[in-house]
Amino acid sequence: MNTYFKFIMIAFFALGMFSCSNDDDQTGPIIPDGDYFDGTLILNEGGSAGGSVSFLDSDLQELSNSIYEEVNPNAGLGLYLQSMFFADDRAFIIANGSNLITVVNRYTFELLGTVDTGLSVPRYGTVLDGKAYVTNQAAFDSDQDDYVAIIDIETLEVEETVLVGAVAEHIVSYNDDLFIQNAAFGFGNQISRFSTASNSIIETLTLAAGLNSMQLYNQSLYALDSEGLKEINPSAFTLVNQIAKPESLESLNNLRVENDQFYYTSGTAAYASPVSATELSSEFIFDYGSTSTFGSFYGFDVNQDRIYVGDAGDFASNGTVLVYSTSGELLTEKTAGIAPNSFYFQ
Amino acid sequence: MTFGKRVYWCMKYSISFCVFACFFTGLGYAQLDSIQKLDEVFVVDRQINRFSTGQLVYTLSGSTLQDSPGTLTDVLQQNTPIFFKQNGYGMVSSPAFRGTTAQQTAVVWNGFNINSQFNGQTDFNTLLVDGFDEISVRPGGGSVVYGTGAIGGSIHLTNRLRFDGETHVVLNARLGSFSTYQNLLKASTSSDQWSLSFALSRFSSENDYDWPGTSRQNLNGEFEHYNANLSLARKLNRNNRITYHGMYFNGDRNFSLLFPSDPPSSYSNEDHRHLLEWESELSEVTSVLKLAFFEEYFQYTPDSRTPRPTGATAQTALARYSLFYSYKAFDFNVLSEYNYTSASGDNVLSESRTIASFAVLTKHHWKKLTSEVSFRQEYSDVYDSPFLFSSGFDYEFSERIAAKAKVSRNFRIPTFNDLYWEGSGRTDLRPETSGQLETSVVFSAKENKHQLTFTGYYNDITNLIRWVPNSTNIWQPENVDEVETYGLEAHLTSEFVWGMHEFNFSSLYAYTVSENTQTGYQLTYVPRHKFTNNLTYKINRFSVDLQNLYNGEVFTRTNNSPDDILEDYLLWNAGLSYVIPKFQNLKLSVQVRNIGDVAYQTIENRPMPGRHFFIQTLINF
Repeated sequence: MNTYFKFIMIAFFALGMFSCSNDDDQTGPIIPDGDYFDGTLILNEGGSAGGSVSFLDSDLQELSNSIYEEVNPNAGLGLYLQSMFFADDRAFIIANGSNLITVVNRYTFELLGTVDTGLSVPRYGTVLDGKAYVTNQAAFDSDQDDYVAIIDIETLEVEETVLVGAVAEHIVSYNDDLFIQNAAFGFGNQISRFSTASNSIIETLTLAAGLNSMQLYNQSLYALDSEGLKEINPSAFTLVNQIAKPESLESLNNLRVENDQFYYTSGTAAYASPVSATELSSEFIFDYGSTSTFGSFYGFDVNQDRIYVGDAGDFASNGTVLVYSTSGELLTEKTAGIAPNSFYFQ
Repeated sequence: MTFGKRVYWCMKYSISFCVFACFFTGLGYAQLDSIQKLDEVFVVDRQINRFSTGQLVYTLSGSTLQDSPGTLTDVLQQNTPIFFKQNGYGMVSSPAFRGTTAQQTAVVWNGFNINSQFNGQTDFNTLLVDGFDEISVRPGGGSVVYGTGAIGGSIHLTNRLRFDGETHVVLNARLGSFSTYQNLLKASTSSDQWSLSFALSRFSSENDYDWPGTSRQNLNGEFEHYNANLSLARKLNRNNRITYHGMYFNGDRNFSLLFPSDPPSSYSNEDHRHLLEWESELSEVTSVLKLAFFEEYFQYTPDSRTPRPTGATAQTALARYSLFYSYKAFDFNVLSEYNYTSASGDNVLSESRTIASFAVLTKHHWKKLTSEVSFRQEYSDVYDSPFLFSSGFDYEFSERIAAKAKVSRNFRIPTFNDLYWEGSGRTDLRPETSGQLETSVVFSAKENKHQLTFTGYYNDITNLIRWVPNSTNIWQPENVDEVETYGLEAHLTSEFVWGMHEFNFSSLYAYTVSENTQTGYQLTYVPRHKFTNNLTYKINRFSVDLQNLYNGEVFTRTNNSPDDILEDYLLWNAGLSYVIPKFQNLKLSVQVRNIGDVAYQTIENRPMPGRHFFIQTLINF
């Protein structure tokens, strides 16, 4: 109560100061309503009973589990939550085991609608001009039936499906194009360029085997494969630079680019190197010594000088979320749901 | 000889069981008249009664089985300390017997272990048992006699044959909520030379129950199961007898959906089992040769809209030779067995496994003390088997008090999935082993009309096989876990007759601790407390049944997270029956299950049905 009161007072004075220094009557930044506007959403893949979403506040003090069920009793998000994507204040939560996308208000987590037809093992999505583009792996024993589902984000109907001709995994948008990572589970070596003008794959770029992650950053598309880091010019769709993997590291995973730094993981350790570097660092920021063989770095992300780690443990107990500073100091460790696999920053 | 040919014919065309059996029964009726009555009942599993020293054995009669709607799961969860987890009603059902894993309960059909060669367990919702004559439940280790998996306990499905010249027919029809139908035709007939018995059962349901407390319905949960049993015996002469037992099961089942948009999956399985026995009584020795052949087959379709089924099949051929010998106060049984199993399937390598085993069982009576010492050693061509033993004692202090104690070493062998799953199986696995101790006190009164037993047990299980992901995300079996289980079981049965009023009461309580010794946490889906009661009241032609079942809360996470539990629940069932003697003792019954419409789950997010009803007609003549 007391803390809350102090907070109100500080906010009041801060607001006062802000309005004093600002004579031209502009309002402050819009603070959205909702319990989950200030912090990090954690997606928990879940076991055979379905997945969940947890929320970690920005002070790293409190972690709330199963926030969707909290707001929408007797409802669930589906089996094997894979990823989440956003359009304004809406969050799209993909359940690959239930062929389901649940659409919620990203700040209140109130249910807005679902996409429950036209999907087949949906994986990742992105939004461009009122359409959501969601990759679908369809049957696991074939990569020729993988497709992109094009969804109208107002009607939540799948309007069109486009075969990719290869595995369809991560998807990012750049101008009017989409880049689709044609590699999953450590297999595959290509990135496809998808034109939203023609709704077709127009080009494919081949990298090395073991392609596992990609990110757009400052007009460049970066990707990690078994050789190391690749930089692609997204307009020309050509390889412009590559930095070899340090010999001492077995493999590099989980590429994130934040604040002009590359972040990546190898084994149970996280690493960073400046974007301008000519070689990748093999000195870790931290090694968190997970005992989980496949569940270590099950989730990994970097945001505002904090590194977020999801550890899935034995996949049958609740996973752990660890937050480190970019200098490797452990800031907090919390218990989330089963198999925390990704982080989304509000 | 013709008999052998018939058996062969039957083995080959097990689906034709029914035609064959009906033909035989027709013959049976015609010959009935002039046969003298001989009350001689026999079962081919001779060890359950002779070599269970130190352990309790509970028996469920054929009529109990016929009066219980549903599958083996339904029968056992009301009448035994076993906890079952079901993926929704009628879906995959796995037992936790004395806090052990699903592979550590052995299901034994007429003396032979019938757990799946692939996953080492029995799905208790794929066994229809109303056609059997008896089910015995033996808590505690039994690997010396029944082999792999008899760690938590064993369930014995038994066919009995008679040479009493009588003919019995049972016709049972049950109709219930969610379009559930269950039918049984069972008949037996015999002379003093031969005996025949057969049963056909069918159980099907739309299973589209409403999920209590929600607006959802159970989707894609329908099933249809058939079971046939056939038993034949013939006395060749005074000292020689040949017996055949066969069973055939065919099940089709869809798996219910967690979310309406989940891909609808389906599962079908077909199993048949045949056993031929030749018993020969030599002067003081009984020699028994058994030949058995089992086949199991399953097919799983992950998405019925775009069917790409995967399946597997396994065949087992067995030969077992036993000698029984009684000398003064001693009973001996020497047993040797040869087991050849081959399997193949879409995900399992085509491989075979050979096991040879030898066992010696010895029992001795001395005044009020019965003691038993038994050993078994198996040799397999794949892995090393531990030396198994058991030693039990029964002591009668008086007519009213008896005590039992048993110590044993038991095991569970790696299955075909563990050994030969494509890309994952490992042949360097060791069998799981369990050392256990148990002791019971039995109080009886009025010629066992009232009986109260208390059992305490301790079970130390090592080398538990668990599938864990390796660094390349391939799940592989490993001998990783160690589990300690201990607990207490109390069982009360009581029978009162008060003029025209007849009461039967039974009550059962189980306290179970099952801890992973490395983490100290209770295993998931093992309730600490289970409590059941059954009361039957009979007056004249009426009878009323009242049952309840309490299961304590269970953890759903291996770290025992207090927010992730399934809450405890108490279910009530009731039934009312009326017998019409004038019409072949036709029994009409009405049953209500889950009277309180309690919303409960035995697996997280898999709701079970609320209040539902059955009506039943049963003719016994």
